[in-house]
Parts: sequence; C-alpha cells; structure tokens
Amino acid sequence: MRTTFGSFNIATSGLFASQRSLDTTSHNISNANTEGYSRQITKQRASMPTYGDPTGVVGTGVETYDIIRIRSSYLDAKYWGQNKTYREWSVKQAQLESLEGVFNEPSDTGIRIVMDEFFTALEELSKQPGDSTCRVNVIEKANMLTTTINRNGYELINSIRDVNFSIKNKVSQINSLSEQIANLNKHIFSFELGGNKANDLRDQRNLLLDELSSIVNITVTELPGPNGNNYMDVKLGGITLINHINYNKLATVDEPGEFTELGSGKISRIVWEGSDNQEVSVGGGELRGLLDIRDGDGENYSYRGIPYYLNKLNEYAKGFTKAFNEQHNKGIDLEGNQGQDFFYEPDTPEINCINFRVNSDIITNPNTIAASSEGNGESNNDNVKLLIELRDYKGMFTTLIGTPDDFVKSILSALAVDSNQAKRMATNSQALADHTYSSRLSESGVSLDEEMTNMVKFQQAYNASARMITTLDAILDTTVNRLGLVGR
Amino acid sequence: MRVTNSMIINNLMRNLNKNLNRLEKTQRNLSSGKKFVNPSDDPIGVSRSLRLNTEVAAMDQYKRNADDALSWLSTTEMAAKNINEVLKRAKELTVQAASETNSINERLSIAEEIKELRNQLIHIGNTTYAGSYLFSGFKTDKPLLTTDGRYDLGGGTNKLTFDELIEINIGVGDRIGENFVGQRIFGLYSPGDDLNITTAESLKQQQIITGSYLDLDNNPITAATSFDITYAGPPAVTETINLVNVPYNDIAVLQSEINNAILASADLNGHVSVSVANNKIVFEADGEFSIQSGADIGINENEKSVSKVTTGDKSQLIAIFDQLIADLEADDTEGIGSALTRIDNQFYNVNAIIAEIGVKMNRVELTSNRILDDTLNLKDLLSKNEDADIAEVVMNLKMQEYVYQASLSGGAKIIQPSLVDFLR
Repeated sequence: MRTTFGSFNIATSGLFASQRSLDTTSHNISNANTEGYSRQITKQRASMPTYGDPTGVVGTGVETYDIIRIRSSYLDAKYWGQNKTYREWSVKQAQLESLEGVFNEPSDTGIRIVMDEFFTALEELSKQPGDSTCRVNVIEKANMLTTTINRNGYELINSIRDVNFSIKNKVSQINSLSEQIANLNKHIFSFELGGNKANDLRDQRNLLLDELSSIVNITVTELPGPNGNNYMDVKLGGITLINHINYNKLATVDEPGEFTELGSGKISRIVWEGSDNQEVSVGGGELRGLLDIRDGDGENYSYRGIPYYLNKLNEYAKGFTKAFNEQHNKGIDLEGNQGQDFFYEPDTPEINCINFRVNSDIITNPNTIAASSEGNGESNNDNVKLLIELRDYKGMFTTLIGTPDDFVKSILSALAVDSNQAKRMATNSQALADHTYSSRLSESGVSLDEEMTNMVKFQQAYNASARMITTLDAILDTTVNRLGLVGR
Repeated sequence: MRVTNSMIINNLMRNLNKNLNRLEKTQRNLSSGKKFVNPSDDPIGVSRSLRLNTEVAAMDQYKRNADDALSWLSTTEMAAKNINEVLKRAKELTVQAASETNSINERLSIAEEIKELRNQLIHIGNTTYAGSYLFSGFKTDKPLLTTDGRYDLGGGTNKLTFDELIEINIGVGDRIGENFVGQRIFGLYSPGDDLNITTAESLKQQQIITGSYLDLDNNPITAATSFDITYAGPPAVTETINLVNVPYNDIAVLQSEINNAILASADLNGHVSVSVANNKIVFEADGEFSIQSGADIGINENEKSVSKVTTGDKSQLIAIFDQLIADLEADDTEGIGSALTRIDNQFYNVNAIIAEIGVKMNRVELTSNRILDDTLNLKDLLSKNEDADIAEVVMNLKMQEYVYQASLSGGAKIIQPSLVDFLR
C-alpha cells in the first residue's frame, strides 16, 4: 500500500540530485581555467527501495552519495619524473647560453681577435724592432689580451656567485613548499576523516608538488593510515622530505673562508637541517642543474660547469705566461740587458686568469722588450721571430697538446657542444613533459562543451522532476478537492 | 581521447611559441647575415670559423710584411744600381786618364771627379729607408761608413757580422732576409791586401761566406791551447779545437792538426775546411761560421774575414778609389791602369748583388700574389662557412611566417566557438 505523499519524496530527491549535479557543473565551469584544477563529478544512485509491498520492490528515488575528482596519479608521477629532467636541462641551457655570452665568439672582441692582434703587433715589431711605436703597440695589445682574459675570468667568477645565490634561493623555496604541503596535508586529513575526498585541496597540493618537482627529484607515495585515511610521504633522494604533517628542512652551509678572487669561498652545500650536515643528494630538477653548473669541473666524468671553463682560462694564462716568458728571458732588450719576464709571474699564487697581466717594468719602459738575440743592433729581431713562433708551439698546456689557438678553440668547442646538448636535451625532455601534461589536461581538464551538455541534461531533469511535483499536486487536488462531491 | 579546452589552449600556445621561436631564429640569420650567432648553433662551424678568421688575419699580416720587404728591397736595389752607375762613370774616367796623352792637369781634374764619386759611394752606403740605414745590418740606427771610407757602425768596437740578416715572416715558416750587410758591397781591406782579389767577390762564389784567416806572420804561436769553431749549421754546433803541440814552428803541422780535429767532428766534417795560403791558416765553410779563440792567443786580433767587419775597418771599394785618386795625383799611369781591373772586379760583385736583389724581389712578389690568392680562398671558405644563404633564409622566413600566421588564424578559430555560443 503506497502512502499518499510518498511520491513527493521521490520527485524531490530528483530535484535535489539535479541541483547537486548542477552545482558541480557550475563549479567545474567556474574553475575551467584554474591551474591544477581537476574536473569533478557528482555521483548519484537510486536510493534504497522499500520492501514489503506486494507489487514488488518499490523505488524511492535518487540519492547523491559522493563528489569525485577525475585525476590519474600515474600521470602525476610520470609528469613529476619528466618535469625534473626538463627543468634541469633548461637551467643548464640558460646558464651555458650566458657563458657563451661571456666568451662572446664569434665576434670582434673575443679572445681570438685580441690574440690575433697581439701577434700582429709582434710581426710589426719584427720589422722595426728599434721603433718605439711598435714596442708600445706590442705592450698595448698584450694588455688587451690580458684584460680580455681577466674580464672573462671575472665574469665566470661572478656567474659562480650568482648561481650560488640561486641555489640558496631554491633551497628556501623547497622549505616553503614543504611547509605549505605539510599544512595542506593536515587540512586534507581532517577533511577526509569523514570518508570523503577533499578534492579541491588535493588539487592545490598537486600543484605545489608540480612546483616542487621542478626544483628537485621527489617520489610521492600515500601510505595507508588508520581508519582508511592516507598519510602522504614525499622523499628526496631516499630521505623523507615531507611525512604527513611533518617536514624536514633543508639548509645551506657556506664553505669556511672568505671569498677568493678565484671563486672559491662561501660556496654553499645543501644539507639536512639538524642532521650533522648530512649532504642532500639532489638527482634532478633545477637544483641539480644549478649544482652541476656551479661545481662541475669536467673531471671524473662530472659535468662541465663554470669551474671547468675557469680552470681552462687559468691554464691558458699560466701556460702562455710560462712559454712566453721563457723565450723572452732568452732575448736581449734594446738596452743590452737580458730579457725580463714579459708577463707578470708571481711566486704564489700561481698565475691565473685574474692575475694574468703584463710585467709593469715592461710597461714603464718599452725598451725592455727583448726583441734581439744578442745586443748587436736595434734591428736584430731574432727573438721576436721566436716569440711569434710560439703561436705554433704545441707544448704550452698540460691538458691539451696544441697551440694557444687550439686551446682557445677547445674551450669554445666544449662550451658549444655542451650548450648545444643542453638545448637539445631541454627541447626533448620538454616535449615529453608537455605530452604528459597534455594527457593530464585531457583527463582532468574541464571541457566546456561537456559541462554545457551536462547543464542542459541536469536542467531538463530538474524541469521534469518539477513537472512531476505539479502532476502530483494535480492528483492531490483531485483527491482532496474534487472527491466526495457526489450528491452535493 | 578526451579533448578539453585548456588542453587545446595549452597545445596552441606551445605550438605558437615553437613557430615564433623558429621565425625569430630565421630572422636573426637574416638580420645578421650569419648562419650562426652562438657557438651552440653550430659547434663545428664556429670552431672552423675561428680558425679561418685567424688564418685570414695572419695572411693580411704576411701581405703587409711582404709589401714592406718589397719596398725595403727596391730601395736597396736603387742604391746598388746607383753604385753600378758610379762604377761605370769611374771606369770611363779611368780609361780616359789611363791614356798616356793626358797631361797632369787633366789627370788632376779627373782625380777631383773621382773624389766626388768616392764621396757619393759613401753616401750611398749610408742610404736610409724610413729612417733605417739599409746596409748596417741590425744596427739600422747607425751609419755604415765614415767620410774617410771606414766602417762607422756607431763607433767603439762595434762589429757588423754576416748573420745580421733582418728576416721577416712572409708565410708560415717562410722568411725573407730583406737587408744586405754593407761589407758584401764595400768589402774589407787591410794595408798590404791585394786590391784585385776582393773579399767581397769570394762571397759571391760561396753565397754566404767566407774565409777566416789565422795569421802567423811567421811567428810561432806560443800561448794558444784551444779555440772554438762555431758553425751555424744546420745543425748548429760549436766545437773546441785543442792544440796540443804548442808552439808550432811549421804552419803545415798546425794546419793538419786542426784539419784532423775538424774531420773528427761529425757536424763540422764536410762543412768547414782548413788550408794554408800565403803563410796564413784559412778557414772556409759552406755556411755562416766564426772562429773564436781564447783571449790570450791573439787569433782574434789577426782574425780577418768579411764575415765580420769592425768599426774603423777600411772599405775595400773605397780603398780602390783612394788608391786611384793617389795614383792620379801622383800621375802613376801603371797604377791607374791596374785600377781598371779592380773596378771591373767590383762591377761583377755589385751586379751579382743586384741580381740577388732581383731574385729576392721576384720571390717576394710571387709570395705576395700567392698570399692574395690564399686570402681570397680563405675568405671564400669563411663566407661559405658562416654566411647565411640569403635566398634560402628568405624562403625559410616566408615559409615560417606563413606557418605562424596559419597557426594564429587556426588558433583564433578554435578559441572561438563552444556550445555556449549556441545555447539560448
């Protein structure tokens, strides 16, 4: 036996369900352009039927029981893995590009041209060794060579400092992200105690994890906790960074000692705070890129970062100074004295790209350029010729058998090849990451067409349910007002 | 696959950006005219471009050097030709003076003109090029001759040696000696030397060198125990010759002992020889060399060779003129007659030198032309290596512009419509 007003409940449940779905649709449309948002769906099902009616099991309408978000954790993990590679290489690409700017080749101001000009000046001197203009010219061009090397050296050292600064920034960024994520974990946990998913908060957390994955390599897992609620665990290099509502802080420890002119000193190592300076193993992301660029000296298969180029410049300055001075010492200057060091040669520290410069005694007295092999006349150019031959001398350097030109070329080739590789790696890994990102958007993104269709669908369902109520009203009207009038 | 709006927009943005990047790169190629701007654009190309640029710079320098050497050589040639003219005139006058019919007065006036010619020779010997004395070897700031026909070289005990050759680079490992040391033309004369046999002429026959003379003057050498022979090579070597049987009374014994020592040295054997002539020990070599003795044996004092002249030494060429003037003034017809042969000998010498200058100039000119060719080739290579092919770049640019515009208009189309536009 059905109750008189029971039908209203069925129709009302339809109204409510349609309204709930319309709310979700509206929520989706509103967040269509929200970064990291995943579309939501209101789940509905037929409500518990009544039992006992002789007709059969009678339906009681509809109920909404959950709002879920469409999100693939597989794609998230994949994206984080790909994103860290992309970010690492794009940092390297940017840094190496700026190094290419430092060396500034091919151009009319690079090391090549000043070396050309220096040797050209020596050639001119070989024609008129007694001419003071030619002598001053040689000194000027030598100065240009040394200052160009100095400038390149300083810029490399400044780059090391800049990168070091960026590393410190990234570390505090990681700490800030960890804090936010741990905070969100707390909220999500309390929201989900009731058994429902905190969809929007989870989206926010994923967005922060996206950001974290661009800085370092992370592995994210959800560990089952009591009451079926999950604890989230983020590991960095095998060590827990965030565990549910707790997180470990990273810190930077500066090298002892003041800044040195060669770039060492105050370089920061990344350690776990409060762990007796245990170093963090960074395996990817922007931070890995920055560390490689700052620390890589190309030895033992390490990356060729700024220190590699700095060492090369130092070796150039040292090799060139030694070879040039050795030959210059063999000559006789215009005043009949044995040639002194042409380039300044300190006892300590070793000659490097910063202290590389022309001997000040030579600058004050150009006559001290030892052009001749013996003091038998101003036009004896034998030693100048031997100095010029140094341009083809292949034994100046320890890491490369080649002329000074070859050496400069080898520096630039290494830079060009590395920069080219970084560019390619960045492009390739970006394509991969982009693809995964697209897949994620394809799955979780809001499709306006779909939402509009849903809107129409739910609106019509709502209208139909409303019409149901009108119909029931009409039936009741009949029952209440028009029945029992027989005989009136 | 499910397609969502943000996915479309994301993809569109990425592709637009990619197209724009490509367009920017092509535009950069077009505006710079180069195939690459950064080393990473083309590592190998950049490395090659660096090498080629350096080579072009070196070639430019070699060209300048060759040009300088050429003007130096042509000034030297001019001077040598002037000497030739002077000798020609001197010969005419000598022939005229040698005729027995001339009176003493006529010979005196000829002597006056010969004096002028002699002074002119000294003047030519001190020719300068851009402020540098041409014939003074490395001492280009010092004149070659004094007015009395002796070597000047700035006074003191300055020496002018044969190896004072100012060589400049006119190619990789290619050098040219642009100067001629003065004694090759002006010779060396000591009182008692035969004016007919010019030391300078002996140079001509042996190309570079020379003889060094060890003069015993019939006196036994008593103090000498050793001396050094330095031979310029290749290979360069300095050998010490030990004299064990001091004192020597027979010059032939000394000669054979030195000879044995030379034969014993692998580097000197076949290059340096020793002989006896006019009671002198004479060294000869096929290249530059010098004899250096210990201070106490006096060989240095008696050493005589045009491979080296010292301040105060007399020029043979001038000595011939001085002798001629003296003979004219003394009316010595026999002496005047013998001057003819002497002047002829000098003619040969100077002509040989003019020929040598010509050969050198020829070589420099050839080299200079070759440098020009090489430079052209290098610049061509450089251009092929780093210059953008404008036609190709413009074509690419147009294509990329088109692609970019197409993607933009495509973008405008996708962004526009959604179901929203069609619902009432």
